[in-house]
Amino acid sequence: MVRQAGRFCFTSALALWFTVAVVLVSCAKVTPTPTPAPTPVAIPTPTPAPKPEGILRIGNPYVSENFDPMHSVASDKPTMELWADTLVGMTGDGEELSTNTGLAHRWETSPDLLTWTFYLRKGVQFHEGWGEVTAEDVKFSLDRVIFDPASKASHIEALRKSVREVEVVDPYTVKFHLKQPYLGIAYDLSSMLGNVGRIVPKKYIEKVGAKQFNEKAIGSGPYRVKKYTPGYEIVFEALDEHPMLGIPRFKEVVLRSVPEQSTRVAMLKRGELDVISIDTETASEVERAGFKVFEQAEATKAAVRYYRMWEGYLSDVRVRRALSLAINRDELAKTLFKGKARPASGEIYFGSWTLGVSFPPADPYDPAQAKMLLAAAGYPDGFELAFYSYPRAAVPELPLMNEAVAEYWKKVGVKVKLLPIDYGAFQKIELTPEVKNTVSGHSGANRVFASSVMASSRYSKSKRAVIRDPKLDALIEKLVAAETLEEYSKAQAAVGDYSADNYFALSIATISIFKAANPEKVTKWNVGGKQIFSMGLRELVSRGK
Amino acid sequence: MVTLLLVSIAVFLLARATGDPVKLMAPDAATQEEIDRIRSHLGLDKPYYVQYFRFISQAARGDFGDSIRGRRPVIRLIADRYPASLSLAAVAFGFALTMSFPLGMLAAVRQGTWLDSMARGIVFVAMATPSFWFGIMLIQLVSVTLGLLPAGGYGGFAYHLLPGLTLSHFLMAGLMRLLRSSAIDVLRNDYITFARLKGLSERAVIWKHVLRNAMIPVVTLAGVHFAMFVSLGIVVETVFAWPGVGRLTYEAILFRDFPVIQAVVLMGAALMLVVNLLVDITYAWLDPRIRY
Repeated sequence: MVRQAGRFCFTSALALWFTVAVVLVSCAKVTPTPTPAPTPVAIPTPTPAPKPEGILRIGNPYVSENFDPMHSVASDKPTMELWADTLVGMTGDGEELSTNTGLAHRWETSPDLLTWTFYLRKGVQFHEGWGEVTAEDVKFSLDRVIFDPASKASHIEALRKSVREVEVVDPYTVKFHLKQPYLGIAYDLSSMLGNVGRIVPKKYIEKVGAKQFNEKAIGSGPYRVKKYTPGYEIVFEALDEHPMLGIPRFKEVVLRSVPEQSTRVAMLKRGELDVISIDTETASEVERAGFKVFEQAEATKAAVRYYRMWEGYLSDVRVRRALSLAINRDELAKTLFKGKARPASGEIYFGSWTLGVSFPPADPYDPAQAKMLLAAAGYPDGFELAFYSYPRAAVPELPLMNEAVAEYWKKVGVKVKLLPIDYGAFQKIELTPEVKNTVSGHSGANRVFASSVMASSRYSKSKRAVIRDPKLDALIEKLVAAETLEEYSKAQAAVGDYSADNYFALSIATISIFKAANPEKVTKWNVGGKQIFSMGLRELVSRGK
Repeated sequence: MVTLLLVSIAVFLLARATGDPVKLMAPDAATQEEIDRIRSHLGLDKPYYVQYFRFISQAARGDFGDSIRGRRPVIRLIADRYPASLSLAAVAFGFALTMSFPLGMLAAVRQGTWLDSMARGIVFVAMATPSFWFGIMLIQLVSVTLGLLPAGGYGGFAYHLLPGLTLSHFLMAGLMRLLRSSAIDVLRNDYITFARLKGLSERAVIWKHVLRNAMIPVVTLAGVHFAMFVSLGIVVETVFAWPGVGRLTYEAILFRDFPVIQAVVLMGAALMLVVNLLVDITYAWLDPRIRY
């Protein structure tokens, strides 16, 4: 009987597995058919206008679901780039401001730099019949972002400090009246930093409210939001033609959230995605598999941040210099960053894009000199430092870099207590006395105008200051008060030089951000250029007129 | 109700102990004044008891407030994600049950044979295999190398198979092991011998008498896991880019999105209570001696 029972169970199990196998096979090859590349057709004149064709599917670790510029941070940019135009445009490769691609075709400033006038293009329409983009929409959009206390927009600090009023002069002219000169205003109103300059329809938001706007966003960009599946993907659909972009390349662009990198790579290989974000290590593998890898060079910096530099071991510049000399940046760039990073020095947020700044070579690796400096500072036997290590999305290698830096420091006698932590948890303590003799691994995006971040973190009167240095304060005050671009450049260079000479920050490497793409769909791409957190989607969908 | 209240207090306090959502949202250049202004607007500068009272009084009306990060009603965010989690949990549950029952019974009935050893070996390997690794290996083998199924994403039944299999393997192993040992105990009982002596077919003996009596601990484990599948499938949802409640919870924790964290945990607790109730009812059906 036992044998019968066993035979029966065995038969049942076999039947079950057979059923599962049949299901698997019948569901096989259910992958979407790859969209064929458009076939060039020889057509006699007159040549009909090309139409948007095909689908571009993009996989990102995280896709923001916030569509409202009033609450957006810079990392929301991929969600915003296609459907919302900015007041000031950028060139297609994201390198410079442009009068061809934004809603404003021209702007000028008064001699005292306190009034900026922007002239809007005529005939740019919001989607779904919500009317023409006018100065009223610009004023509405900027008022809510700059002045509404509910606004959580990032990269707004400088505008909030300097803009007194936004005035509608006529339907196509808007004036910004400033409390103090601010040379970076055009950059802030472009897509270089945050999403502050994205213009939204006044009539639509006044009718449906901000919450409903976040459910169904309306803009004037070359694509409209067709469908949004929360936590999964956003589907954008092309207009037939856009006044600034022209005729978009792709009929649809799908922005999908795929957190796991190996899954993104698998989906790229299977043709389920056409463009993905990858890290340094994966770039070589993907290239070998026949995909094109594009780089946003110098997108960000990996660095070590110091805290409370007015007390403890870190108050001595010799100690800070020693910690820099103890790090083998070349080795880190070659091994950890697989040769795709450049040793860096100086301030974290200063890069080759930063106005006026030029960098000396990064400190050489000199542990002997480091030990001598520590001894001269009174620490021949070293000391103990707490090193908080948290992940940062822009630099996935950061925790490993922190471990490597801790090991370098141990070799010169600095005993490091490495403390893995979540960034949110660290922020609870970062302004408290608990962070005396503390450092953390960090990353920061390079900026053209860095006055606001310097004023926030390096100016002693700021509650978030990490250093109290009267000379640096004076230099920052001069930077903030600069009235011409030349003055600003010089002042910024002075801040950068002084900070670098005194090791107020410890840059380790300038990192590139990588994307991989199907070579049939993407042949040329600057990956956002100098735009922070941008994917350069406008360049991807442009026909490059 | 008391359980839910205690859970709400615990999650409220624990979430706030872990970090500041405003600082996480603010860029490096934000001044302390900016941060304080946003915190005040979100009501996060109020005393904890004020925040808790607001939360619990709104929650009693089904209103969990707005997500700090997404500025959307929390209930809407969760409702959007629940269907994906439920469908994946159902598929995973189905896999676990259909694989574990025959194998568990086979191992029990053929105890000591190579079939039993094989089944126990499968259990051992399945329980030792991390979901993360298993999922990635399935993607590489089934999707990339063999080209049989999608590598990730959300869609029809084909999209459910690999994540469902990944989510189910641990439960499958646990159910199989539990069913095996429970069935072995039942097989030793006199009433099973008597049933055979009465002339019942082996099929009837196994499926009607042995299985039914072996089911009680299995139902408990299955019920608890189903609730966990729905709320905590974080790893599988991340690997397979599945837009479920698990990932929503993970992202909310990363960004310290307190309203979402609180709502998800409360709903998870409520789901667990409902599942436990259903399990208790199932006991009574399985064993008529059990009455409440």
